[in-house]
Amino acid sequence: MYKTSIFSYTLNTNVLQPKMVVARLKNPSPRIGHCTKVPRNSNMEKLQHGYLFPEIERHEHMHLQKYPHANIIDLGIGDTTEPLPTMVTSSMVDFVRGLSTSKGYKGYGPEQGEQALRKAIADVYYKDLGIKPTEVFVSDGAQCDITRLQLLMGPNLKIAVQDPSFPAYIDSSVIIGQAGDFVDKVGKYKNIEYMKCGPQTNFFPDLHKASRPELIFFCSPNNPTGHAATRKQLEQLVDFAKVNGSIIIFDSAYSAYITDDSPKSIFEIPGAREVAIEVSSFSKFAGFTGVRLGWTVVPEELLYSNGFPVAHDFNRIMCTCFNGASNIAQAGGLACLSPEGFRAVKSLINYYMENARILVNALSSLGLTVYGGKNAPYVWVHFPGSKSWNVFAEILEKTHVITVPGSGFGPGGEEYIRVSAFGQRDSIIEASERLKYLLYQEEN
Amino acid sequence: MAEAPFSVFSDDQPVTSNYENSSLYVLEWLLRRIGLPDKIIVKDVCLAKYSPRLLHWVVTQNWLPSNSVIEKNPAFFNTRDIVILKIISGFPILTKEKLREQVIFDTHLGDWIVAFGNWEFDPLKLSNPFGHNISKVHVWQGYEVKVVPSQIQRFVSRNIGLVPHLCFVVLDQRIFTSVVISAPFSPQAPKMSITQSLSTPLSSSSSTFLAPSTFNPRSQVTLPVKSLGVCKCIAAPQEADTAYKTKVSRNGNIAKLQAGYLFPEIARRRNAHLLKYPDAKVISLGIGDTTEPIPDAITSAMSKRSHALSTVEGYSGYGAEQGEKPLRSAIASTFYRDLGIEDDDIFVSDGAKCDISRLQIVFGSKIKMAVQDPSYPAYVDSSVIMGQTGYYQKDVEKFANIEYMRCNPENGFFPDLSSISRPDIIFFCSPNNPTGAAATREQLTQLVKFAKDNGSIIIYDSAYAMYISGDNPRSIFEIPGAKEVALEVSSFSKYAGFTGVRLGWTVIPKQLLFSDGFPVAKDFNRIVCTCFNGASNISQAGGLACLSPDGLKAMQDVIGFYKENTNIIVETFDSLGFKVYGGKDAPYVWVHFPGRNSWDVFAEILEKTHVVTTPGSGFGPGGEGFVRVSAFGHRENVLEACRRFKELYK
Repeated sequence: MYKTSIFSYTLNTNVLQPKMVVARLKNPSPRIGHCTKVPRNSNMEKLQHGYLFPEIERHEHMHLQKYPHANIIDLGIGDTTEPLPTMVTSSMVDFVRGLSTSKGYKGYGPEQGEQALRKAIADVYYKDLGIKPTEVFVSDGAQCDITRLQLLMGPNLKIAVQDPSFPAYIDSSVIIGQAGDFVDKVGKYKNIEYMKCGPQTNFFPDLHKASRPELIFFCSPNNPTGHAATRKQLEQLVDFAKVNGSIIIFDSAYSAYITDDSPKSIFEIPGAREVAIEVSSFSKFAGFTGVRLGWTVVPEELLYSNGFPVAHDFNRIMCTCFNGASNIAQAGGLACLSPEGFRAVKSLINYYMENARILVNALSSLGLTVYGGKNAPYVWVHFPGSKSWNVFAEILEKTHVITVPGSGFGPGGEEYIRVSAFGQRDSIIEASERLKYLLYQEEN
Repeated sequence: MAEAPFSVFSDDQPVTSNYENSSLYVLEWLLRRIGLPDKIIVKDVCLAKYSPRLLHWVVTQNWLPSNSVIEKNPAFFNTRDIVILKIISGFPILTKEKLREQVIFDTHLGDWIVAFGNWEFDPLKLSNPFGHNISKVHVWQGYEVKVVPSQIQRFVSRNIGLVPHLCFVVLDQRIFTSVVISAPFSPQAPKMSITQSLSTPLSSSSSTFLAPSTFNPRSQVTLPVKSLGVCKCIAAPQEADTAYKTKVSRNGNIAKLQAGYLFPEIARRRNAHLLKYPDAKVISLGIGDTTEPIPDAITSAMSKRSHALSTVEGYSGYGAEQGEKPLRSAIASTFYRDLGIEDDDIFVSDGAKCDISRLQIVFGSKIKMAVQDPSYPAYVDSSVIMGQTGYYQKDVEKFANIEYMRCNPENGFFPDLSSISRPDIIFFCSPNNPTGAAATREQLTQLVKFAKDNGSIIIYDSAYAMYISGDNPRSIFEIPGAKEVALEVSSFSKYAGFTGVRLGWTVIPKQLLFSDGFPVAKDFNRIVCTCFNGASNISQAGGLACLSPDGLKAMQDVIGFYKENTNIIVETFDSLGFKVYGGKDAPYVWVHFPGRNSWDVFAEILEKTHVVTTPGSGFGPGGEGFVRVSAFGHRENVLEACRRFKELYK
């Protein structure tokens, strides 16, 4: 048998321990010079360490300093690598050219996004689900919308997250003041409900154990585990929200990667319009990570306890704290949703999913237990008994491949690493080979 | 800001730029459904000035047997009531402490404002709009306003001659509203026992009143007063729509916001005007939206970048959250040469407005801010959303816990700093939007000194700096010592016509420290990484092109064009004998209409000339009596608008 615990070997002393890089950014000795009398926001002080991905980037930089000639392969942050379809970029080029003409110039657009794009999103993504264009708010990306949703909801409520989950949910919650203090012993914030999602429960939380939250962040297909919730699971979730009077913030940024018949939107579940908001993005669907475009759906039926529509307040936030997504990005988004554009971006998705298959095959062939990769571009690999930062560090040290330590997504991610399938085919194959070689070496 | 026309939700304001989403739309729809006469919507409702303070006073007086009803004071209930009260599950007991919780307080405040407000129409003159005796309206009888002891209610009622009755209109699965109908106070009114109203649930109540949300559809409530036509009402029948509501409370901070955000509100009025005059050629000199094409030198860089994204070599995914290095470096060297600002002090963003919100998130809810009055509304609104402010005080048109620094012609549009109590954060915009005044070096030196003496942080908005004609400072960092007390927000919007393309930046010097010595820039960096994901890479390519020699020249040309517009507008109003400010260092002309209400002037100009301007009071009480005319427009439109102004005010 292959040893799955090889990574618990004594580590190279040069490998950075996560605790050591935890930039507890508190300044021990006050700096010389003028200090204002403005106190630091205590919520900011509560944040634990660098936001996960910049943190990983730091590791990468340090690794490069140590091995200046290393050919690093980044399967970490989950950044798209494939060029956009020409059909999409040429729409953007046309739009940009228009901006230099009197006829084609456009200034401020509606804060909620261009009508045509809102309609196209409703038609393409929510066909037959009764989502109206006015319920779709176009944005510069899901991460930004998550913060705006937190601003909307304010500090006096309790959130629940899947554990593990995308760190922005928790971090934005801390920043807005919902989270309470961090409890070192358990690695959790006091006032956040961590809903453990592991293989034992088919990556769906045991809702009986969850105490009533006001907001439930739920990401499916999940980042990082790659699991897409089944229809039955989502029905349970909607039911749970309804019973508890909670609001679900459903992150469907990876829905285009679903290959089986798992729901692609929470609004496929009856009754969801009264309990859920959906956040989504063009980033992973169309390679718009740098172009920046996303959207949020807030149904009219979603009401606060006093009967006030959530959409009205969200609209106010969009008008006050945001000024619309770049109109060029919006032109690109519209092109992605045309039949031709949709086909073209679909081929990008297929490309990444082929990468995922290669990674899954390589890792499983080594006897590792591998999850995800079927409905999401992430492969979730189990290393029982090992610390994920150690596994991350050893893989980086010995193969120059960057992954993401599972514990960066919450205590429930400990013992796992996430391998992203975003990458050029050559790199994916090369990374698979290096991983195989490493494990082979360790074996002998 | 205009009065909200007839509050639809008890604690609501009309919100959107989108008429279909606005409460006005909902209200019209609602009133059509119940057939209330049109005059209700036409009239603005003038709400009580004293309600916030009155409620606060009631809640904070120890001697008052306040909440006597709430605390189940037997004086207000008969024994049967008490028995029933005890067995109702989830019956909220509102203690004084609970009442001081913001959300609860807010909800009551909304109801109070409605209940004790002055109404510009006489409800007694309304005829019964319901026709039948069955309607989905519940008359919320005075005794049921349980936060307030009846004695107080009576006292208030006597003084305003009316007793409040809140009606909860329950119409649709999801829409309900509280509308107040007031009835003359009658001391002989029988006390209503709540026992008669406990059988069926009233489907909706926007209020947290502790009164049971139950009502008997068949037992007609005896009105304690001469029955008004309007109020011949019965509670909602049981089958009446129980719209599902979550148990999540509305964010009390957002509920504090007044009416719509200014510009969406203007857009709404513009659209309404267009409905009224479909053939009018409306010219917008309102929001300050750029109209001239982006120079080729800049767009060609963006189309090149867009095209490159479809090639293997040119594709790029996530960029640095703080912006691309060459752009940060170009901003530093173009705008802050010799000012000691380093590349990594620059954070590229999708615009100044978005950065203002992110800065508010950095500073959190426990700080006190100061703004110029008048000023760009996003400063105050974002502060309210963040929870830094108290309630809106209708009488002074200000939020509590914000320091409004009056800037007017008398003080050269620079505040009298000696009269300002210490703020943590000072928003300062120069050249100013809306007054167009650019602060002098001497004034800014004073400002920096004030900040230093008080340990405050200046958030300096320099979005119009390139419009400065003379030698007034273009950046706060031209003032010695500013790096220790100031950060600067700026934007490409008004320089290169990037209003729709979206690109801006914020400068945070490393020397700027919190009271514990922690650098502000580090926390801002964390926010940018967590709450933002970088500006669009195509926009950034455009920004970089703006700062090339060709791009800079092209931007100067565009700015020069708008400045000529400004001159035309200034001359027009000058020639008509108006006092005109601004226009020299900014694309805004600030016209004085002494003694007049700005929204009236705005409406007059729109009605008679089809030109959209911006009412000065939308920027704060200090803007009352002024109208802002924006110089952003095609030349022929500006000329035409000026011709119409001359006709109107000749």
